[in-house]
Amino acid sequence: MVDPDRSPRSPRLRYRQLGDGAAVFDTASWQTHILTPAAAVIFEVLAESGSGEAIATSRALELLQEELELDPGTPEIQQVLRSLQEMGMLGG
Amino acid sequence: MIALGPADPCMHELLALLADPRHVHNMGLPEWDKTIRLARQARLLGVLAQRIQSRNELLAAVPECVLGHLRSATAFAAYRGHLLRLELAALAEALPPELPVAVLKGAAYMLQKLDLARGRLPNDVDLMVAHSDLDGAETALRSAGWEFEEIDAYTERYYRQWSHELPPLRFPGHPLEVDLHHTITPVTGRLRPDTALLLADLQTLPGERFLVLHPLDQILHAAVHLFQDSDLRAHLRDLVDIDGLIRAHVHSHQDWQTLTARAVRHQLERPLWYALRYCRAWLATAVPEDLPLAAPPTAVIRLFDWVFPRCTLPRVPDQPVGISRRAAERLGTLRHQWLRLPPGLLLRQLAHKGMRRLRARPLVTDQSK
Amino acid sequence: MTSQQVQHSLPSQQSAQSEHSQPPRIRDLPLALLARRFSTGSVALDYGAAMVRVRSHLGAFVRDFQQVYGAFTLADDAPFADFHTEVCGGQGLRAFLRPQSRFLIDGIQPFDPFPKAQALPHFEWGVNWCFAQRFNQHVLLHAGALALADRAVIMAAPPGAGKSTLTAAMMLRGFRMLSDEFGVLCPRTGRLWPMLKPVALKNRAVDVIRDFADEAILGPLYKGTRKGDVAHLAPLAASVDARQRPARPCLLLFPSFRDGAALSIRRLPGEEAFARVAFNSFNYALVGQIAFDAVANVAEACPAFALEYSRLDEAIESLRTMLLESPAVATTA
Repeated sequence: MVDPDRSPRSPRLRYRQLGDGAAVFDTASWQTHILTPAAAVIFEVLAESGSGEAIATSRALELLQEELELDPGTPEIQQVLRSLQEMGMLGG
Repeated sequence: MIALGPADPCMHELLALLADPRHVHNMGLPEWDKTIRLARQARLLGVLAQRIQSRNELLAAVPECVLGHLRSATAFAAYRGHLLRLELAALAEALPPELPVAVLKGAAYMLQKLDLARGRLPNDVDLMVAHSDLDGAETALRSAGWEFEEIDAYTERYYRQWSHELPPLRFPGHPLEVDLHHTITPVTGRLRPDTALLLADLQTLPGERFLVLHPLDQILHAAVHLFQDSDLRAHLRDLVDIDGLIRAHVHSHQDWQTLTARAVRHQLERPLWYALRYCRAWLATAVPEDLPLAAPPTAVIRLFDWVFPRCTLPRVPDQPVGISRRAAERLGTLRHQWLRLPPGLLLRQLAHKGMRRLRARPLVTDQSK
Repeated sequence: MTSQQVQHSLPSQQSAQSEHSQPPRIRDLPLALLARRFSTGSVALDYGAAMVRVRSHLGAFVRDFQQVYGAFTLADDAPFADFHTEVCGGQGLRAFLRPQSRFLIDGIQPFDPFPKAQALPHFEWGVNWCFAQRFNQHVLLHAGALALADRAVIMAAPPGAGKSTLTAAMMLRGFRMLSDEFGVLCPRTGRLWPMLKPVALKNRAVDVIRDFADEAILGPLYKGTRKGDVAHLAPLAASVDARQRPARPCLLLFPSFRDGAALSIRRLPGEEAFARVAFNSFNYALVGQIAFDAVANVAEACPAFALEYSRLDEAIESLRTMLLESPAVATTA
C-alpha cells in the first residue's frame, strides 16, 4: 500500500466530538467512522497514549482492560478495534 | 497565432487563461459563461481552477458564481485523484513486487507530484510492462480479481493483435479501468519508438512501487497521444500536458537538444514537431525557434492547421456542429486510423466501426465527468 | 440593496432585481410572450443557489411552467448561467408516433426521453440531476430546508416519510422555504442556500396539500410518472423573493409520518444526527474532508430530534417553537 504521511504533525485522522459521541474522518481512505460514546472514549484513550503514533495492538488491549475495565473479547469491542485498525491507530 | 477556425470566440479566452491565469482580469461574466463550458468539455476545468485558485491575488477578480464552478471542479478532481490512489494501492498489492511496472500519463504525473497533475482529471490507470512481462502481469491481475470488460470477439482480436494494450481490465465494483500496455504506440502503426530505450530509462520514484517513463519520453508519449487516440476532442488537454511537462522538465538549450535527439531516436520527430507548433501558438509555451527538427511539407502543415483546430478544440456544446468541423473530424479520425493501423486493416476497422455505429448509440452519456 | 446581497450574487442580476425595477412575476406575463422568451432561449431562472438558462419550443411545457413558477421572475439578459438546458420534442419519425420530451444540458441528453405530456416533471428531474452532478462546491444534503427569518431547520428523511408534504405544509403556514429536496450547505460559510423549486407531491400528498390551505397553487396532475401520480406546489412569493438570502442552520429534524400517531419528539445523539445527515447527502463521499467538516459543524451546532406525527398543524406548531427556541450557535465564520 502507498502509505500516507503518518507523522504526528500532519494527522491522518480528523476527530470531531459530537455530544458524547464523535465522528472521525480518515484522510488516507476518505472513510468516515461514527463513534458511539463508548467508542469515542476508547478512541480518546488510545489516541492520548499513542500521542499521534499507532500503538501496538497488545498495548491497546492492556489499556482497555486496565484503564477502562473493558473485556476486549466482546463482539462490540472487537468491532471498535477493527475500525481503529482501519484508521491506522493500531499496529503490530 | 494559428487561426482557430470556426471555434467560439471564447476559445481565445480559454487559451489565454491556460497560458496565463492573470487573464482573469480581462474576463467578464459573458466570457466566463462560455469559457467554463468550453473548459469542462475539454476536461480542463479542474486544471484551470487550480491555476486560478492557487494565486490568491487573482481571486478578487473572479465573480463568486464562477468561483463556485472552480471549487466544484477542484473537489471533483481531488475525488478522482483519490480514486486513482486507491486503485494504484490495490494494483501494487496484486502485482508481484519483482515485476517492473511503469505508470503512464495521469498516474505518473500524480506520483511525480508535478504541477500539471494539480486539478487534472485522471481518466483510467495506464500501466506499461515489457512485452515479455505482459502475460505475467495479466495473470497476476486476473487471479487477484480484475476482469476484462465485456467486449465482442472482433474488438478483443483488435486489441490483442494490433493494439498496444490489452482490453481494459476492471476490478468488479472499482470505478477506474486499468489498461495494460507494452509500449506507447500501436505495434503495427507507422510510429516505431525504441521500446528498449523506453524500458532501459524507466525512472524510480522514492517510496513508490511504480516506475515512470524518462521525463523526455513522457513528453514524447504525450505527443504521440495527441495524434493517436480516437477521442480527438480530448486533445487540447494533451497539449496542456505537453506544455506542463516542458515547463517541468525542459529548461536549457541543452535540454531542448536532448529532447529533439531523443525524438529522432524514437522516430517521433513529426508528432513532436506538431505538438510544439500548437503548444507555442496556443499556450505560449517557450519553444525555441531553431530546433533541429525537420518540418513537414508546407502543404501538409496547411492541411493540418485547418484540421487540427477544428477537431481538437472544444465547442460551446449546445450550438450546432458546423459542416467544417464535421469534415475535419472525419479527416482527423481518418488520419488517426491511418497512423494506427496497417492499410489492409484500416478498411476492416472502418467497416466494422461503421456497422457498429448503426447499432449502438447510447442515450445515456454523462458529460460532467 | 445591502452589501451582503451583493457579496452573494451576481451584481448585474442583482441590479435587475432591485426594489426599483422589480420585473413582473411569471404568472403576470402573457403566455405568448413567455413562450417567445422560451423559444429564443432568453429565459434565465434564478433558483437561489443556481442560475439556469432554459430554452424550449414546447407549448405545453411553457403553460405548465407558468403555473408552478408563477411567483418567480425572469432575470433579464443574465450574463451568466450555471446550467444551459433545453426541453425539446422527440426526433424524427418517433416524434409523430409517440410524442416525447427530451432534456438537454449543454447539448447532451443525460437520460431517456419522457412522454411529451410530462415535460415539466422531466425538466424538474433534469435540473436536479445537473445540480447533483455539478455543484460540488456545496455539500448537497438530501433534505428539506425551511427558515424563519434566517434561522433554518434541516429536515432529512428517507423517501416515503412525508418530508415533501411537511415541507409544503410548513411553507403554507408561513415558513420560508429554501428547498424541499436539496439542502445546499456552503462549506465556507456554514450557511444554507435556497435552491427553491416547485415541491413535487406524490399520490395522496397532492390532495392533502390541496385541502390544507387556500393559498396552495398546484400545477397539473401527471398520472403514471415513474414516481406515481405527481403534482407540483408552486413556491409562494415570500420564499421566492428571499431566494438570494442564505440562512443559518439551527435545528436538525428527522420527521416521520405515521397514520394516527400522537406527536412525539425524541432528542437524537450528535453522532447519530451526523450519520443521518452525512450518509443521506448526494455528494458527501465525493466532497470528502470538506463535507465532513461542514456536516460536523452543523451536527455540533444544532440540536437534533426525531419527530413522529400524524397531524400536520400540530407538528408545524411544535417545529416553530423548537426552531425559535433552538440555542444553536454558529461555529463557522
